[in-house]
Amino acid sequence: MSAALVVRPPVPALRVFAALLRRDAHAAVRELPFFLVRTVLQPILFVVVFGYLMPRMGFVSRGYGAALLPGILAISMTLSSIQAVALPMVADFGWTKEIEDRLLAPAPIRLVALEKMVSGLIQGVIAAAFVLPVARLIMGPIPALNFSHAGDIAAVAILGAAAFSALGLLMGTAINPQQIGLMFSVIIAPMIFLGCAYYPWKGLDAVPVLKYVVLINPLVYVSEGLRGVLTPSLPHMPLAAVVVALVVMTVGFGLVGLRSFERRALG
Amino acid sequence: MQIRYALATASTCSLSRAMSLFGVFPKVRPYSLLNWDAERYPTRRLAMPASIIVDSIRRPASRSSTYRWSSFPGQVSEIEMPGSGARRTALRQRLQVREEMMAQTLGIGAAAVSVGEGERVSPAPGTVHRSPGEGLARIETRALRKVYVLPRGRRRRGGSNGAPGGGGPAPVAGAEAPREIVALEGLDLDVPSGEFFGLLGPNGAGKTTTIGILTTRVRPTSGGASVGGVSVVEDPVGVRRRIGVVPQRPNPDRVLTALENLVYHATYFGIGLGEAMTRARALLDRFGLGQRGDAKVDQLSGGQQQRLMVARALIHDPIALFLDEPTVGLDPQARLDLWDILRTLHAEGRTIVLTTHYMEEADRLCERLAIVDRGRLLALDTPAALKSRAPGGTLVELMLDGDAGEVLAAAGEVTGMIRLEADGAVLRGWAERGGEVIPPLIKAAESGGRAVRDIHLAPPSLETLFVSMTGRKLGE
Repeated sequence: MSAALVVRPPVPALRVFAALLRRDAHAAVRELPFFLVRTVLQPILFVVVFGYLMPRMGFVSRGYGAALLPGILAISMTLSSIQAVALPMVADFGWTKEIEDRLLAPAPIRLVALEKMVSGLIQGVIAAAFVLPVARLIMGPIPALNFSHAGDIAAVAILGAAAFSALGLLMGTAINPQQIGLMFSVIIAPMIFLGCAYYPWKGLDAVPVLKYVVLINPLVYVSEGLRGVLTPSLPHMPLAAVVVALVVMTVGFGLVGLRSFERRALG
Repeated sequence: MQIRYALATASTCSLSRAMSLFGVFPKVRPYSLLNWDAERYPTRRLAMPASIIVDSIRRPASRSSTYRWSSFPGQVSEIEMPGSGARRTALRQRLQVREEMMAQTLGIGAAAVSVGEGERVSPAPGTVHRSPGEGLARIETRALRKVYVLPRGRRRRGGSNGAPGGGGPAPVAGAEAPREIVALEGLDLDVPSGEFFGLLGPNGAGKTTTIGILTTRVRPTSGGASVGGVSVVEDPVGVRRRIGVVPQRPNPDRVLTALENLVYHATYFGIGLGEAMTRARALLDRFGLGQRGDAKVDQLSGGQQQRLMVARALIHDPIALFLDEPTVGLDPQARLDLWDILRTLHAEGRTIVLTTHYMEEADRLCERLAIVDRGRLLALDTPAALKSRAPGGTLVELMLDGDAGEVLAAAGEVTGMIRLEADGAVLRGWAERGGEVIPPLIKAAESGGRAVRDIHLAPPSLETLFVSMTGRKLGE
């Protein structure tokens, strides 16, 4: 402690951002086992059932596993990014108020929200990075899974995780703690089942109305983008359309989420 | 390490501020302050117990420039004007306008020292922060008003008003379904640097809302509030650099240990990990938590958690400390421990604003007290002066089984009563000798057909003053 009382000098916003990110990284590492169980278990169970068991039982063709991989990766990102941002935020604003120490940091309030989004993005990508090798191990060789596609896979994964984080920010600040159960049953479950994770978007030609309704779901673009890279022989959206859609969704959800965060943070 | 910040022209400073966001502090040409009042401060080379940092120069529509600066210890700053010409004249004029403010802000009038070139200056403890007229941590509110708008379909439940902290009880819309709650109704406060100031009032008085606004966590509907001359609305980041906050309910980061809570909070203020660790350990030791640094916060008792919150509020060495009912829920010993801590912090020269609805706490800790109720300031003075304003004698309250108004006339005949009033089923009065008037008051009530359910006696205190002003008790 200094002898005299004086005002602290200004702190560069980037330095505050780095400190916030370091805190989240510390918390994430400490909770890594829970993080993995929370985000990776469900996608891996899908891989085991649809990519390993059912092909051996003869209920689905042997190639279905490969067709499933992009969607499984997309789902793992959905779950991890949204949960990483939304769940703590619902608790923080709802009852624990733990985020208040960060809201007292000498930086704009929105920086705290932005950091949460970046933290969610990183966790989403890490979740996908965990699922990918496990899925490869269970399902066997996937022809297009090689280093030449690493850039495309990373680009779609990062953009997808960003969109899910932004959506998580919006959900975390808009949902009351009492409605947290509804978040999974009313929002995340339909997102997953109607997110073209288990089937290509082109397959929805059979139900034209649904085909266009699902376009509000960011999971559709991540599934289609990864499908285009990993299983190009299957029908998929053009990569450019996927990128544009994910950027638009990230910005859209992010702006509304930031505003919502600020409203909650400022009483 | 000695860091020098220099006053720049408006354009350079805006650029440097923008760049500082990215951690880059561009070198700008130092200017000397030629117009410094030579009689008051004889040396042209100014050496102060603190350096000056120009946070920003803003240029509003009126074209008048506003300088903001802050200081930190052990650093010497030079402010120099450019060589000559129109730019020099313009700068001099701007500085002249702000000279008095700067002197007041830094407390130079009382604490300026002169040293040789490049010499580091360490202020003598106890001289800087208590200097008269210093505005370093002055806290002000002007006509502060806060109205909460409730979402549709949300109504008041019981005595709660839905506002954070229960602040603000006065509905302004329809009586059945109020959609707006007035938490603060034109609150004016002025707390000089170094004062231990108390906000005393019952639940719903607006205390938490006031603290929320002053700590930048609640936006005022109208009016102004500032800490150290920095507006909470225009520069909330600047305010947050000046304050520490202890919440009503401990809200530590439960993922982290006690030590980590302090360390990470310090890093948010730009303190390096090494120094943060040193500060954190020192604070844990100071507050009797030295052995619990590695404990998860859930393993700490309520008193320990609250002490951790005080330590967290101090880790970045704020000049002003805000505590929102910090002793609620603490056992008596933990409360006394916290009082000792607060007294020490005040003795160090910190400005402290404490909200409470415990009159004893306010009486024993605060230098001045503001009594607030329903968002309005009822009284403001030292505890002793306020107590002297309490109606003379002992407060006597009789809870009757019906309307006390019907026995008011009969009770007025009782000798020794100074003042008497009816408040629903409560017959309230003040008497020089409280015990002596009880039998005749009971008789008067029974003669009016009322039975006495309960009797309450209270000696002259802040509580009786509050009751005389509002008809309510502080604990309500």
